[in-house]
Amino acid sequence: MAILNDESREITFKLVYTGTPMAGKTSNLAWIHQRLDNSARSDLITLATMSDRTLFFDFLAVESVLINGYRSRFQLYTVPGQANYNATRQIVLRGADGLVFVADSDPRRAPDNLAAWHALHQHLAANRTHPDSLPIVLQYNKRDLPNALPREVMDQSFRSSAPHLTVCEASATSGTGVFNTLNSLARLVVSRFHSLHARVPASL
Amino acid sequence: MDPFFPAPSSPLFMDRETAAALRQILVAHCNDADASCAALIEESGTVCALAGDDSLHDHGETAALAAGAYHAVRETARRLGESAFEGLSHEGRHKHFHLGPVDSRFLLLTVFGNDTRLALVRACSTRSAARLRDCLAAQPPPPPPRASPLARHRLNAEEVLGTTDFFRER
Ligand SMILES: Nc1nc2c(ncn2[C@@H]2O[C@H](COP(=O)(O)OP(=O)(O)OP(=O)(O)O)[C@@H](O)[C@H]2O)c(=O)[nH]1
Ligand SMILES: [Mg+2]
Repeated sequence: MAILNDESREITFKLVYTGTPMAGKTSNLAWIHQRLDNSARSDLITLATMSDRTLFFDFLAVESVLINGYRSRFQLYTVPGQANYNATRQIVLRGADGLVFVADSDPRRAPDNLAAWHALHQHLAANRTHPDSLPIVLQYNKRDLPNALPREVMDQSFRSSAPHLTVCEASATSGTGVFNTLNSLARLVVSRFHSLHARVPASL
Repeated sequence: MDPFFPAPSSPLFMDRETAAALRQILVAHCNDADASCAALIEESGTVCALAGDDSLHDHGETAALAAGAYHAVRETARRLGESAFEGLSHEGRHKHFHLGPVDSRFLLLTVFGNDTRLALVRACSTRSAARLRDCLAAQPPPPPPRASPLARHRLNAEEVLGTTDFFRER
């Protein structure tokens, strides 16, 4: 949930990278961390197991443009993909202003993509959150794989449940599409905040 | 209903007066509890008010970790069948901290040294949390969208925001 502070003239949003286990959520944050100036970002915090699986969350705070005198800040979190970390995942998802759903283009992971996607929608439904009321960007990651599923095939599996979703293709380890995904979600989240509350002006 | 999933929640608008009043409460809290610094942290890990030394003057990493630890321990307690949660403390060699509840959305982080007793910090945290709660509750509601001084910019929001790159890769 956004926090607008008139004194520090800051507006802070929380964006969470969720999705299929091992699809590249942490790799997205690592790339963003590597490619922003030190002055515009925090350290990258990763709480992972010895084998680099996310255990609790990764965290990266990034600063962006001034929006009519308010500095915009985005807190980026990833959640653990593994099913047995359901409880910690839900702690991190709490209060999110927008989500990136990272899906894996590896054909062998197609069933896992759908399982994670359905799990997300079950959570949304259980909490009476209409998917349209929470900005979500769908990222097809690992497009560099030689046998990556064709985009149309991935569209078919996801878009039947959400035809208007913004989709970004990416290859997080080489950085392709990572900033496009982040910018797409930031736009959706700020626009939504603006249209609901009109406290963030359009003049940037 | 799952208490942890992002339900559609309202944003927090903090006006200048509230920000200053919250900080005053934290300054008093540091004095009373003999603490080196204190922060009011929102559940998503954002520092909303801060007082004391510069231990927490980072880019939000510490607050994010504190919020994560707090919620993880509270949820562990809940799963073990314990619904009461009074917060958690860490005792190190030189620096110690206490994380206590303010309300369902905020927590209070207090950092203190060897000369300070945890029991005092706990007691002061409970009292300061009540003051912080009152202060947050007393804040006037944000102006309705049309009355907001920023509302006049509303017109072409979609258009302008639709093309902004919030982040540029170096
Ligand atoms: N080929 C390829 N491999 C990738 C890409 N992105 C991530 N990987 C690899 O996929 C594996 C998992 O990446 P992570 O970023 O740790 O995935 P995650 O989604 O954070 O994983 P969990 O947190 O455990 O769910 C690693 O071996 C990465 O190097 C990509 O775009 N292309
Ligand atoms: Mg990860």
